[in-house]
Amino acid sequence: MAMETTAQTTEPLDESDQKQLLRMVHELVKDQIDPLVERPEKPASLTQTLAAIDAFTELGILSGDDDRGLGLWDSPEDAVSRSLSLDILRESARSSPSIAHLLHVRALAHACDAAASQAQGVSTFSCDRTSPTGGRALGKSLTDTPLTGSETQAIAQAWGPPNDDNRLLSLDIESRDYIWYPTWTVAEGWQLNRSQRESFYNQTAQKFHGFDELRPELHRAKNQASSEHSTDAHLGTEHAIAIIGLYNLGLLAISAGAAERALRQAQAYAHVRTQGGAPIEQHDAVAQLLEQARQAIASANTALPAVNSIADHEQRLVEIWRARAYLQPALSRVGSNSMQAFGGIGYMRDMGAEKVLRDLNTLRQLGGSPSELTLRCAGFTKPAKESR
Amino acid sequence: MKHNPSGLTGFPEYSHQLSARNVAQGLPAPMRAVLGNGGLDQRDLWERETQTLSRPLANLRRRARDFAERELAPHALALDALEHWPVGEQPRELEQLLVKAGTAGWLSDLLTKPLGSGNPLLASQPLTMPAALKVEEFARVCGGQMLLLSANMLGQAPLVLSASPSIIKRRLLPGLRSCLRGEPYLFAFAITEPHAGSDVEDGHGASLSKPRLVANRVPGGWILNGSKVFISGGDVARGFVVFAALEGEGYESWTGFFLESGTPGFRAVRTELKMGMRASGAAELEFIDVFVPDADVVGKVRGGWSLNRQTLNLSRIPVGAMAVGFAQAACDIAINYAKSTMFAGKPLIHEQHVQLTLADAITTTSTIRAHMWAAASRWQVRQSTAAMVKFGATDAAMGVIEQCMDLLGPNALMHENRLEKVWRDCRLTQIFEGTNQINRLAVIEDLQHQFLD
Repeated sequence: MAMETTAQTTEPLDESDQKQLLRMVHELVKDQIDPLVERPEKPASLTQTLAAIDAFTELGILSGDDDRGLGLWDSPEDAVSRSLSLDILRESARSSPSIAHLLHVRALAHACDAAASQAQGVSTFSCDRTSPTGGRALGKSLTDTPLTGSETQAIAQAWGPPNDDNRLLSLDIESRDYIWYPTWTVAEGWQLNRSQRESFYNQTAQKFHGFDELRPELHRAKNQASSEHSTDAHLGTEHAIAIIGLYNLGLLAISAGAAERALRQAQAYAHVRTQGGAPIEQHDAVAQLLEQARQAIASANTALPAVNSIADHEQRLVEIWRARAYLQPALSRVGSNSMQAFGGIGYMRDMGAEKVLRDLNTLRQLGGSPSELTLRCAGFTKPAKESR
Repeated sequence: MKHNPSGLTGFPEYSHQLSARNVAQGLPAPMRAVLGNGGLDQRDLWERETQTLSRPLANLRRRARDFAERELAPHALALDALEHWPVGEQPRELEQLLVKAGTAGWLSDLLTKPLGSGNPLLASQPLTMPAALKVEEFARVCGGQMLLLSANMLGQAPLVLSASPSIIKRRLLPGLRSCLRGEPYLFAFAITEPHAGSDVEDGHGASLSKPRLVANRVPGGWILNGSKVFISGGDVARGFVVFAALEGEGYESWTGFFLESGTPGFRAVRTELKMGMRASGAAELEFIDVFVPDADVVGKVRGGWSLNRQTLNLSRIPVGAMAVGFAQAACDIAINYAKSTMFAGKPLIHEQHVQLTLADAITTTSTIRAHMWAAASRWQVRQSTAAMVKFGATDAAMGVIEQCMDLLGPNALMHENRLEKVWRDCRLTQIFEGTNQINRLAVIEDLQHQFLD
């Protein structure tokens, strides 16, 4: 099952080119993003953040229309290219998880635009709703097993046009012309839709748990009747499943990078802060916290390539849900352990430890919370395909 | 799973003979009289737990919930979302809260009447039990405002524990009366020193650390120089109990000193921008040649370490109570969400996985409350008892809150839904009054005689 894209202009990079590109990304992150997060208690301005994003576009990480192939999610059907995208996201998240997430959703939107041959306007991507998203019924919808009436009702309610009770949550920094988002209907099953932002009532969330640099917005359709809901482009079920899978893969990569940032900060502090005549890193109480953090990060970094290598879209989606259900709480705990190693000073916003933790908590809830993902996987009872 | 219109899906209807509600009906009348009516008792869990308390404690619990919902709840979210305010520019809502809390007796109830405002019928109760009940109810509604009110109690504790009639009469009682008159006089407890937070929370660290606030002997008193950090309520308090080491000595020389805001050379320099509990300031205190007369030494000279430890033994139980309140808040929010959110044509609470989550959350909350109450109702509070309650309850409460957040999904991230604030507020309870790692070791330190042959 291969996802068709209409704009593949470049062969996948060889290993040496990939390393070179990642070095460039590393430098770009150091030059452009690190300065934005130097003062964790004071989020960067919109202008500063946009300038950093522009630098990513110039390097080709966020592709323009003519140079697809080098950047994030430019060749989503290719495992090597996906792996490179995951590395880029993780590298960006080591500096700023929220900006990494911004790159992620913009790149996914661009991949959708390219697949649908939509060149008009700029778009973002959202895969999150503010109400229950289907649980076991959702997992079952990916199999050939017919849904019951209540399961159909559950998924249709959760993934129909965004409405008052179930709004679409987007996380960008500015208004985009279009939003890509998944829907499910009895007739069409899973689809990706592109709607004009103006076809929604849009409300900026006044305050949000994490991602301080971004502007969370809630959207509900002006016309909520599913048959009349205003959309201007669609991608079919295979695209939808593939893109939802990429979204979740990216979330895990960003979470791993964010956790690495949290651990790095805590390790540096534990090395210099002394208590009882020794650096606190030498006390079991702290060493244990930091080692638990390393274990979680290592597990995530092991899971990512394993899941990424699965060719079948549905199986890959379920496996990434499975991995995230297990690993997101562990990665949140990395943030928590790291903050704990700081003691009281970690609770203060200017240290940055609490900010990474809030970002990790935010990532934990996006794309399906661990308990929701567990249910979805439980609903996916189809035997695993020989797909690796 | 069949939807049951007169009960939750998956369970027998109330009228069914197999219903849990009717289990007691099958027993002989005398046994029903002994065991109660089982499921027929339709009061909620909170009320049934309240009924297990003595009448004065039950009344206190109800009054605390009423005050919290009336006075703290309306401003909780707005105060949390405010920009950081500098020392001396407290929001008007908090000024008014302090006046109302003061006149209602919530700032002076560590002692019972006629010394304080506590119910005289509670005079036979350990100080910790009424405090724990109050703190839990306040925390359930707003962590920041709760801490503002509770830090005051922490500041009063060493004055009471000093058992010095002079200190209590001259330094504590006038403040309590001022609060009752509607002129808030808050107390603060200042132990934490820069870059040494945990050092003053356990004996081993303290024995190897260099104190940052130092007292020099002068005729008629002491001169204090140095600083303290992260002092809850230190920006608005008028009376302070601070601990300083004697010049050239270590923490074993720690001595408690009382001083008032406005004392020359003493000031709150700044407050921290915190993750949560934002309605309460964490202040940095500066001491430049601050004179404290001998009469304002709290307890004995060099007796500060004991006073500090005993204060922590008392205060760590209310920290456990805070965690119980936060866990209860998370349960309440999750239950409301599950009742009001429709899923496949019926409220979400009919889903079995939601019921399982809520059962876990409610049970854990009830368990840590029972543990906390058991410890709070003892006169003799050991270090191990207090530390167990503190780290046990706070770690468990965070688990409850995270479970509830997972239930709400992205909805949990919205400030307006309050759950993410509960999470941020509760997270501090794993850190202050000794990190939970320090508290774990405090249990072993206290019990070590059992582990040595």
